[in-house]
Amino acid sequence: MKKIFSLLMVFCLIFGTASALAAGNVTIAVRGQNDFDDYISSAFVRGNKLLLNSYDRTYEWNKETGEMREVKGYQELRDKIAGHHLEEGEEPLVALEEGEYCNLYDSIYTVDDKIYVMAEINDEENNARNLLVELMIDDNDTFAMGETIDLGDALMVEEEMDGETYRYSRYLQKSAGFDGVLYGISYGENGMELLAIELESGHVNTMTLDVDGEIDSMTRYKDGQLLLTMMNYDSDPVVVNLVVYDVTTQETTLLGEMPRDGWQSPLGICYDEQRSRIYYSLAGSMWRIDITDAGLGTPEEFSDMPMNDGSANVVLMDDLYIMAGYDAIIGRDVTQEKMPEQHMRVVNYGYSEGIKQAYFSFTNAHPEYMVSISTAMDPEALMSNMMNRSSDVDIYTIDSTVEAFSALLNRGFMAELTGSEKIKAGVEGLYPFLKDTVMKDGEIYALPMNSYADTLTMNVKTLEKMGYTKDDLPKTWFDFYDMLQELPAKLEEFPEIQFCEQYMDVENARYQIFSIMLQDYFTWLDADQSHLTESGDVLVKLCEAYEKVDWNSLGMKESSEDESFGSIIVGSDDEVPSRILEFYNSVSFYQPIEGDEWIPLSVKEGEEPLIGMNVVFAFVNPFSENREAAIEYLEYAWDCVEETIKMQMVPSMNDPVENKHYEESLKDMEEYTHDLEAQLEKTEDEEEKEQLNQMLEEQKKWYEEYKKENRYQVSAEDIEHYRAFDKCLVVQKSSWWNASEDINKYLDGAMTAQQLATSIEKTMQMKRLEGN
Amino acid sequence: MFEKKKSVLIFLLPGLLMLMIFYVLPFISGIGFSLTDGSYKNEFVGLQNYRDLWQNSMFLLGLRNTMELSLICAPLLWVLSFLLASALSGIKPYGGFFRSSVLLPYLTPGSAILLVWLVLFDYGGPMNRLFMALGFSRVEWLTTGALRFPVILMFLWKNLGFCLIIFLAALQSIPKPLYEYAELEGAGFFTRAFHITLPMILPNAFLVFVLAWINAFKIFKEVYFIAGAYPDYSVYTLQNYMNNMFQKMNYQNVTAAAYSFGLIVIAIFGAIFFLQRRAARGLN
Amino acid sequence: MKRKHLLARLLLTVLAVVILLPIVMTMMYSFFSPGEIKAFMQTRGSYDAAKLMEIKLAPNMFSLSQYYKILIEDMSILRYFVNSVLYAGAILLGQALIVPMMAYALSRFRFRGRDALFFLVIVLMLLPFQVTMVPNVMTLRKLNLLDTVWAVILPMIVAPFYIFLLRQYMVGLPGEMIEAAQIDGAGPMRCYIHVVMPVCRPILGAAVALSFADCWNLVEQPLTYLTTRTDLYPLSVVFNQLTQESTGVEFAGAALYTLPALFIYLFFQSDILEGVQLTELK
Repeated sequence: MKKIFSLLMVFCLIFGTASALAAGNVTIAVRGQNDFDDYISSAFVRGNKLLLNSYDRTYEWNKETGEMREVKGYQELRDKIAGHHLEEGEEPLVALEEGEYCNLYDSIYTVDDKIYVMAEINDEENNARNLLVELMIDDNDTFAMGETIDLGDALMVEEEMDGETYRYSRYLQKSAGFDGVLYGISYGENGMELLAIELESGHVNTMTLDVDGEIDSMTRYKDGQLLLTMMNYDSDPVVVNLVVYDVTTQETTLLGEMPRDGWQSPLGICYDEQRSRIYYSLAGSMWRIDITDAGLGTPEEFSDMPMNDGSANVVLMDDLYIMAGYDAIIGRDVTQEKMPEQHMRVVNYGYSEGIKQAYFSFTNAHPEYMVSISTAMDPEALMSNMMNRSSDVDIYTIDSTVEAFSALLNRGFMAELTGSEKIKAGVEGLYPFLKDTVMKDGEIYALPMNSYADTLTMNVKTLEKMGYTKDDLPKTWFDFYDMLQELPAKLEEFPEIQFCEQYMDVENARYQIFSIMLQDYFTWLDADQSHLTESGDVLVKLCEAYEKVDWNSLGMKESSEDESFGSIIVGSDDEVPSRILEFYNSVSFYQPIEGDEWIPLSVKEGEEPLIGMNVVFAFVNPFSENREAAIEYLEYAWDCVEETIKMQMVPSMNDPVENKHYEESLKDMEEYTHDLEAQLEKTEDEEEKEQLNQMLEEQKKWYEEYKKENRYQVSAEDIEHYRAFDKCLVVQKSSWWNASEDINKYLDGAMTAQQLATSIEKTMQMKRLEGN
Repeated sequence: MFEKKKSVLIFLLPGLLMLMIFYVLPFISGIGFSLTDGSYKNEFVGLQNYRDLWQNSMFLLGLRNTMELSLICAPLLWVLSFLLASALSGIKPYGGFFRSSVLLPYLTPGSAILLVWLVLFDYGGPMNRLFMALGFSRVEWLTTGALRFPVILMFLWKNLGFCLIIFLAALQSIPKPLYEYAELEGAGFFTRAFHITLPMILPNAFLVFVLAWINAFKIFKEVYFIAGAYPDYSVYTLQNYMNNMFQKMNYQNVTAAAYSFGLIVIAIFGAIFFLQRRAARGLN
Repeated sequence: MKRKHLLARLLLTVLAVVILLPIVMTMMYSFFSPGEIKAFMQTRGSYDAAKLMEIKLAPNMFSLSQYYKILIEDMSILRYFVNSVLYAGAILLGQALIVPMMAYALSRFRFRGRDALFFLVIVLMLLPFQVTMVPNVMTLRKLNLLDTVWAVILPMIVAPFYIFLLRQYMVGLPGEMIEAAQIDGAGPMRCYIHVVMPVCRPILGAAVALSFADCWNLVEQPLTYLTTRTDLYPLSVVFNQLTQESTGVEFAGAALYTLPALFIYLFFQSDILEGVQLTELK
């Protein structure tokens, strides 16, 4: 009896899970979860299995069991085909001439029952051609190469730029194959073009379409037809049309207009022949539309879709719409009749990775919720939504430099987050300047999710060569300009030293430095209300100092067309760079190039410099109907904020962050050393021996260096270095970009410094006096 | 006069309904609105918004500018159109070309013509060339307090014609012999205009003045188009303030400002109408 | 006497030319080639003491390419133009239905609250748009009309100034005329349609012309009520943006936009003069 009972139980369990899986949505894999860390570039269905390919791996997902496993052997086959890492005496599977080498692309194309991968073959004279190589996998997971189709150079494009000829192979962005032809869309001379590759002959044809607009995506439709979305950029707002292309008659039929979400167009369109529908993702949701030859039905939202990835691959597997992209592989049941009643909408306008990642942990804990994450709603639309007291959006992220942020905070259009212990604790730990920004009258209204700061950088080691010491580093903009006045003479003395990277021309450098200075000035203005009233002169003085510099004597090329200067990529070798200045360098835990020092500059003599930190804040719509859940979502999002970013905002997080790939990289390097040693033993040739010895030596040096320096992603020194500058940090509330028109006028000489100062100040002053 | 109640409803109802829906009811409900804090909680704060408003220096600046501009523009327009009408009435019927051209600006869409104004008053534009030719230094018309001048000029340009034809219409009702007699007496143009003509057409003159003032209160479009939401202090009007506060979503502040200004306007014109009634009665 | 007139006439002619100058210049500039006008407009806004703008009245070469661009190549300006036409049409139609009836009721009927109503009309006439802006937005939102064309059209239909203008005219109509009709057995409706409307022709013409000018110059209403639907903007709102972008076709757009106003003016000119003349403006 017991036996039968337990058997029944097991049966129920199996049946239960199986049916639940069959009828429901699935998350097949998420990058960074369960040791999955790969970018799926192709997906196709084989029987009841879904095959997923990344650059060098193949995975198989079994719909019945819901399990995913790696199918070994793909990388080995790729190596064999292209002739990489061959054993002695082996030949590549692809027939190569002398001096030719072969590279395989990552995408896999399906035509009828066969799958292909594209190969590019180059020779030493820079000639190139393409091959389509058939791949075969049998039921025992054995990979093999099938036929090869020579496409000649039909997919090669030549482009002239700055007198040099560049050559590259066209890439098929989206593809569909049937009746022995592979169709794909690809960038060409006339923008996005539709190509047809005949497998029999290897002919590549470019199809001409007699409809307006640019092709945006393509998918297979019924009866040898293709569905294309065409963007019409001439109309305002932009229109996306769905067009049917018949490959035999080459006729196009307009089916109708596709919906859009702000500036975003539908992604991952997929046709379901059985139900005469198309499915697509838009605004963080899944939609379906009935489709007939007469036109389109009305869009119906049926589920959420946490990916927003234009290059994602979609396949339909019975009732499951599967999207495989950069972040995850996700299946959505297209038969789902009703949407969950609990539906949360997130607009990740400011863009926070944490908000995006929290989808998975939140929906895991709350499967009853559907969460649509969109990015397209701009702050103006949000403001008008708020004025309408709309509950459409539950969570919104916004950049600190967008004016709407302070307007919403001050007008009381953000929900209190103080009720959440976790958020409270999180905010408690923030730097005071951040804490003050998100709090008003003792209540928390927003949560920082991302931050970014940058500043000018100078290389101390280069400066030391010229006789400067660390104490000579400028502390104010005035010091900086004084230094720039001395530099020409010194630069003449040291011809090997450059003022800045050589791609920079005078015009550009002037503009960059001025805008950085103006950003510092804005940051200073925002830092204290009282600065506005005294400041007219501050900017005028800055401009005067700026004007004293003779930009043409700093050894920069005069215009961007000037070809007499080569481009040197600094830091590519181990030598200390020989340039002094770098314009934008992020103030973070990543160590700058050796010798480079951040030099935040103050805009006023005698004052400490400031570094404006651009912060992305998340907040909850006070009119939200899911307020509690939304706050909880923010809790998850806070957990998903990358550690290195969080550390920039939380002063007490001072533990070094380990390098996740450390062990693995060391092992790889060791292996490579062994390889080299093995080769060295085998070889007889003296010249080769010497070469190998040299490589081995360098490899060992690298290994030691890596072992020493890359143990941590963020080391204790990195942290100490960052914290030394943290007293300069403030939230950046306005951007110099707002004044760009005036800046251009000033730099063109069409405006005096005084006029620039008045123009900028007047507006800011008026805004401040008006209040919120 | 009709007195049947039912039939009046037919004529009145559509208009009245729309007046109620779009103006009266919102206006009344807005009063309550101006007494809340405006956050999502909508808490009652009494007269706090009004107190804040009347302490806001930009509101006061806007109010002062609107008043000042209207006090410059309205009388100027009134005097100019009256004098021109007087001059024109003497030489009709040949003033046709002038009469046609002077009314044209009232009908031309100002936003389309604005481009030309921007050219005319540019720092390097024709107006400054004229100034330089006359020996003056150049003026930054569009970015400084000097913006008042083009704004006033645009106002006059636009409204002159309409005021002028009202005056002209009125002048036609004045009997000719009166002028001839006056001319015999040796009265000059200005004496005739102000001592004979004006008293005869006082009601129309009053109407022109009121219309001029109303339109002067509404000066904003030009300022907004030339100098944006934040023009120079001297042309920052009350409408600028209300518009900006509207953009900042501070509806409470905007309604408080709207009602404050509405009250002021009603008080001013109420007083003027009252005085005019009394004056008219006194004359009779 | 004659010499004095000559002088006055000369002065008036000069003044007329000055008044017409901006309109004429707009027209002239519309015949510049886009490249030329673009280059010209880019010399604006320079505070360089050494630089002056050229004074340009006539193009180097007479060109219709601005018009070609906006009428044939890129229709976006034309689309806004059509929006303007639709707004003006709808508003004028609505006003034609409501305004004269209201004026008629206010002038030819005696009923309780008439003076109060008239006072309300006058008060509304006095207030700038911004005063009624927020209450209007609130109402339109409740009616779900925000970001639709109706938000612009409906509030404009009950235009207090034209109610006032028409009412004043109707007050001045001789009472005998209506009484005669009444004796003939005509009710208020027949009086309105067959007696009052025909004699009001001049003022109606004037009101149409003036109201058209208002509709043709809509700025604040669309900016406030159509925040997320810029595609519904009338052309008058878009000029500001065109000026900033300086696409080289802005003057053709401006000239094209001025043209209907010009026609309306020429068509209704005598009505305006006559209508105003006969209005009892007391």
